[in-house]
Amino acid sequence: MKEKIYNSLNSIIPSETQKENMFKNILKPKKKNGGYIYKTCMMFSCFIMAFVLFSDKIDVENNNGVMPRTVNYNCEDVEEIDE
Amino acid sequence: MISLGCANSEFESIYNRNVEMVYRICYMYMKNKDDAEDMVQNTFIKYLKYNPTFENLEHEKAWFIVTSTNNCKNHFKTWWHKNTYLDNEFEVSFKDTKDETLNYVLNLPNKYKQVIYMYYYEGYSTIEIARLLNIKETTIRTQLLKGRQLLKEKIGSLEE
Repeated sequence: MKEKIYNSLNSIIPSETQKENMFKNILKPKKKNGGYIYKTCMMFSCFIMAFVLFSDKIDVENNNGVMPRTVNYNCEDVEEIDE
Repeated sequence: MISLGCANSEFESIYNRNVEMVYRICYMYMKNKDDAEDMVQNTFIKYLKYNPTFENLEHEKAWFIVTSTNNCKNHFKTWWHKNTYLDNEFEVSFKDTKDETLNYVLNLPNKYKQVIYMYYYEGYSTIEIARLLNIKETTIRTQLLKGRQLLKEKIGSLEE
């Protein structure tokens, strides 16, 4: 069992190219602006989404469940007919 | 061997000495090449950041074992990975390997992997592991026993 475990773990070896790539990436300077720009854009888009979603809400309770009319159908000139 | 300029010669030698071991530990936890590579890089970046002084090679090796393990454990503590990664209880066969024993080792719960690795691969005694990880020796022995039992169940009746 000991040998089997040892051999199986011993088979995990990075290739030479993997080693080189990792070494290069470790020494590569990191761009710090990326995260800042990304976060700012995300915040901005969240604000816009929140504004769009919550700014046009209808206050249902004040209208007894009836949606307020926002469209004018020009009905002022319609005559009432007495039956 | 990698050589990238004289300024990094000391780091180069440390990297060459430890990269395979760190990669092996990271692979055990991450279970795929790409994530393991990221964790290896993070471990060596931590070394460059804190620049610890080592008393000897054994101390250096122990530092890299503990740091890489903690790095991997911290990776799984994030909210994203808690919710998206598969549970340890599920058995998964990995594309990168065809070795069945390795699959069983990789499928072990994380808490047993470290002890199994340090005991069977690095050859540390339970006392040494306990000292390195700052855990009670009895806990290490229990973890080793449970990990071994789990492996035995999978691998079958093999010689001790």
